[in-house]
Amino acid sequence: MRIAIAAALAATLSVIGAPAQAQVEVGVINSLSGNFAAFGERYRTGLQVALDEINANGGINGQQLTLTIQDDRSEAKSALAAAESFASKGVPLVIGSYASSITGPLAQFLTRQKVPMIVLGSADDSITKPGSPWVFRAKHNSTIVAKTYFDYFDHLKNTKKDVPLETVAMLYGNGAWPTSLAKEGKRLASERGYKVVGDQAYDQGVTDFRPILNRFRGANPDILYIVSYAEDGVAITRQMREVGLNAKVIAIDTSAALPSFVQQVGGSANYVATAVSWSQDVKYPGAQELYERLKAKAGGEPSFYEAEGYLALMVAADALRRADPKSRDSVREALAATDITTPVTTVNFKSADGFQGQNPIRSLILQIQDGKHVTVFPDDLAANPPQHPTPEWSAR
Amino acid sequence: MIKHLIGLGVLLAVGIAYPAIFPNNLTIAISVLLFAGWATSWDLLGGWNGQVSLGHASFVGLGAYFVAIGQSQFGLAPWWTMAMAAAFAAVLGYFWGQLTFSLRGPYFSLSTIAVAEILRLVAINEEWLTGGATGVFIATLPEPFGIDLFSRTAQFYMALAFAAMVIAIVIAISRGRFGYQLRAVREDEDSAMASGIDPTATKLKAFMLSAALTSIGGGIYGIVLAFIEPHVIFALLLSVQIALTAIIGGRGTIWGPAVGALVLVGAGEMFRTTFAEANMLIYGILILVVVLFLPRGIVGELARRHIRRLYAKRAQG
Repeated sequence: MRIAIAAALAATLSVIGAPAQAQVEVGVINSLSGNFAAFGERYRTGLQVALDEINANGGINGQQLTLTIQDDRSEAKSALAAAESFASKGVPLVIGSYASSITGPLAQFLTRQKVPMIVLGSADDSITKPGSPWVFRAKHNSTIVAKTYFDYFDHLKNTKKDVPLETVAMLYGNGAWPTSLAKEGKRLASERGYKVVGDQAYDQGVTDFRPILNRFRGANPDILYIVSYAEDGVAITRQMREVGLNAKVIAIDTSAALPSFVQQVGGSANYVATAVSWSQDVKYPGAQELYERLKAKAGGEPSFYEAEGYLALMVAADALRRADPKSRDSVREALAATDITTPVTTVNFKSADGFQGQNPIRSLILQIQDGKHVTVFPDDLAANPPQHPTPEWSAR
Repeated sequence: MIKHLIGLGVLLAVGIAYPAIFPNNLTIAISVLLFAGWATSWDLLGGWNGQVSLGHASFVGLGAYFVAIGQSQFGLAPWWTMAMAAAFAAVLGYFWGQLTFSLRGPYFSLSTIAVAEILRLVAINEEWLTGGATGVFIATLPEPFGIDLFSRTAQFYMALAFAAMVIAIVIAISRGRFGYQLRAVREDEDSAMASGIDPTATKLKAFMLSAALTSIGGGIYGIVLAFIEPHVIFALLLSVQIALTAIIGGRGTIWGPAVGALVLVGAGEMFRTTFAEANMLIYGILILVVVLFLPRGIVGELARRHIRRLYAKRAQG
């Protein structure tokens, strides 16, 4: 019985792993079912747009590029099983996954198997710090994002000197990403002379933030630095208006970056700033055209998630063109030597500040202006100047 | 008894040969074995003793954290930290049981959810100890006798030893005095007390043993993942998966939880690679079918039919 089932299992796996001819096959581990399926779907759209573009332009030195996408059910153990099958099949590299609880074990396993890995969605510092020679990330991490926020605050302070920005209140979920962004934020605040007048973590699942927001109102912060997943950020923004918590700058990470945020919050979304890795109006060549293609493929408004999926595969294709796809060592060396410009961002994997295989990507600050996400920082990539300061709720 | 020992022998024989036959499908086999061990441990309390726990993820998490922190902060080898985790889990089970076993029915189950939540919040907030919400890495491990503990083959044999050990313990208990005490308390606490059994002490013993065994498997899981995040390892979802594995396989049977692990984890993996996004849906249907048509679990139902056939034969003379 046991052997029969094991044999059936092995047969299924080996059919799926049938070898391909004159093709270069890349393994993708993505969350297509389970908790993170909504993100996985967006990443897949981006990957497919990149795949079409790569194959329309001659594939990998004349060979067709193919993607084998395995679902990880939003669980580390399934992702590891998928990684094992990719490692034994001889794919030149693996792209994956979204959550850090999945990507972390994946990076550890692929490093030991000596399989080059490109991070798809996870932004945790711990993936590339200390990192490994086999793991590469073209997108941002918490250190980069927190720094971008504080660069933005500094920029606002320097451009409008009559609006003092001295105090900051922080509110964040207790998940891995919000916690690490808050920790880095606190470090930067003290380094750059901002006074932290509020510091509150909340457990995921909280819906009533009014007690915290009321307490913040008493501290009268100049800046609100909030890190929340989708629904939390919507609730916080609505309740901020209810309790009349005013601030000159309101930054809400993750939640406010989604197109749905504006629909759910309405007019209160205006003036909110959020950091992303990409936006359609960023001044990189081809960004607008990429937006059109992502939109056509997604059948709806694309976000930076699609762009990150696109970016991961473009980086992979570039390295594969410069390497022997049959040798993982040569693919790893090619990845390490990456130096390209894409419509999403520029990519090179220089090791610095204790990071390894991390692209020092320039994150963008978007501000919601008249119900639209607009790139406002850094200056040279911005589409519009920021609207600053944020008026009081009573004046809106 | 002999049948079960033969079964254990078959499991070990198949297990020892497995890495040579399927060298590229070890991760899934490790998952099956760990779930078999966890579900069998859970069943000591949940099946044999009738106390349903929905907090066994806390013991998995304890084991994983002991191994990870012991290694990364104190340089302790996993076999020491697993033993410490087992002892700690037993002590935790003792106090937890002292508090809650005077409660009957669903109240114990509810309290188990609460304890897992408390441990999760401790792991998130006590950053000095646990690395906080961003979790902990296991970067290095000792190499006993030159064995690389990071290799999937070594991890497979650890998981096999764990599952076999837990099943062997249950086989031993099932025929002993303690096994009958467990069942007596499950069936009727008052009658058990009338015949001289202390229900609270029996439940406590079962809980402590179940907790200690689960945490040893948790330690192995920590090594397999090499990266632990509190939200995931202490999740209610994992507790439910462990309980469900035992229930689907057959509560209060020796092989039920192991069969449940093979069916649920094996089917989950097969569906994942063949049905893409629909895999969860089909998985859900499978669980529904088992619950509807095999309410005693797979092995439980088979055993019952077997016994009924025996009775029918005897009645016919």
